[in-house]
Amino acid sequence: MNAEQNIGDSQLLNQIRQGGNVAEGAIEILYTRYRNEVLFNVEKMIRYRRGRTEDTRDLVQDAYIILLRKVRSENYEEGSIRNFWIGIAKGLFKNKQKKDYRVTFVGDPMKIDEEDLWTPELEMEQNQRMEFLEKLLSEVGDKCKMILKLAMRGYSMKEIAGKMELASEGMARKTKYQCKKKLVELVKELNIEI
Amino acid sequence: MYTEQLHDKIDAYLTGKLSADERASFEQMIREDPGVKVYLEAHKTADAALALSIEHDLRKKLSRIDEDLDRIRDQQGTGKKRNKGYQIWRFAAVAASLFIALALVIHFWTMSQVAPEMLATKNLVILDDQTRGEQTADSPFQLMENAATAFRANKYANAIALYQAVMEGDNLLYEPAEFNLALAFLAKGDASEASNRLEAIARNSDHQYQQEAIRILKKLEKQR
Repeated sequence: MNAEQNIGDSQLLNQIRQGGNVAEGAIEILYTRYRNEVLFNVEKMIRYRRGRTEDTRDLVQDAYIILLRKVRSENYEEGSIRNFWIGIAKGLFKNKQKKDYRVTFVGDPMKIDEEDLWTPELEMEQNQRMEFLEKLLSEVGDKCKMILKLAMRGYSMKEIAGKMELASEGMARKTKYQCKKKLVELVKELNIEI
Repeated sequence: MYTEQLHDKIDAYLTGKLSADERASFEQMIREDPGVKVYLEAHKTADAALALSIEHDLRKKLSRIDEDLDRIRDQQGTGKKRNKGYQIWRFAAVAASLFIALALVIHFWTMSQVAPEMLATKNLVILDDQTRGEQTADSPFQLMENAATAFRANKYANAIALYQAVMEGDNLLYEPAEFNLALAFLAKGDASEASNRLEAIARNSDHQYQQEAIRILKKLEKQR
């Protein structure tokens, strides 16, 4: 039996909360473990509701990203992670359908934050925003961008030092500060709001 | 000035790592120093940009996993299709076996359900050349021969009369005639009379056709 198969869902969720390198693996294992089942269930539901199944993969991914946010923010009560994921995806689909066709549902089974609501306009806006942000981040250089992202993903300074081949944890901390300063100054200078 | 100290303070503030006192003190600092507020907002925006970029990377990673999973699923699907051919053959083999088994059961059942007429004809005692011996027109041997001929010609009433005639004399052919008489009644369709006569033979342990009578009675019992 594969070692990954022995890791329980609760353990994986704890690893995701922990962040860093261990979280990266847990995110992949959890996604691989349930993705097909979730995709199958969500696709079935979309067909039943006469929706377009072409976007199901994206919907399942979006739902997983929301799930990760909820897990990290402790906004998740222990239970079936698969059902939770399906619930989020169904909520996203219903909200999308509501926007597309102005359908009113009585009592949504899964409440989705306003920021998670999907609309074509929002997607276009998000894409444009992403392009802009990528340009902004590239201004600080690839190395800085990488260090800042690793820090935000919960990597320890020791892990960052190892991954970025920096001499020490102290050096990693110092580099991270310099990179952040560069980015903050840039945001301040350009007066950017997200 | 975005010093390292301010950077650490903002980081700790935004991630909820400050104690209540430290938080209150920092919030006062934000209110009093507009420069700190500007850096706090810029720091928040930078974090939001990084978070979005991380999600963007994650989406790419998930798409790669999707591709792998879809490829595996497709491969399994092809395997299943191959297996489907095998399954059809297996199903056909099982169906054919069942059909053959059923045909055999029907065959043996039909065989066991032999018509009384057939059963009687099959068990009829025919004299061989050695038992036949010298013959005259009304000798028991000739009467037995004539009765068998009538039996084979489905003239069961004649056969019955002839076997009864054989039994009237005290001769060696009494027992085969008695047995054949019972069979003649059976062939004629008089199962009740045939059974009575066969039962009489079956009860007689000295009768040379006792075992045959028992066997036929069992068959008749099964067919009822």
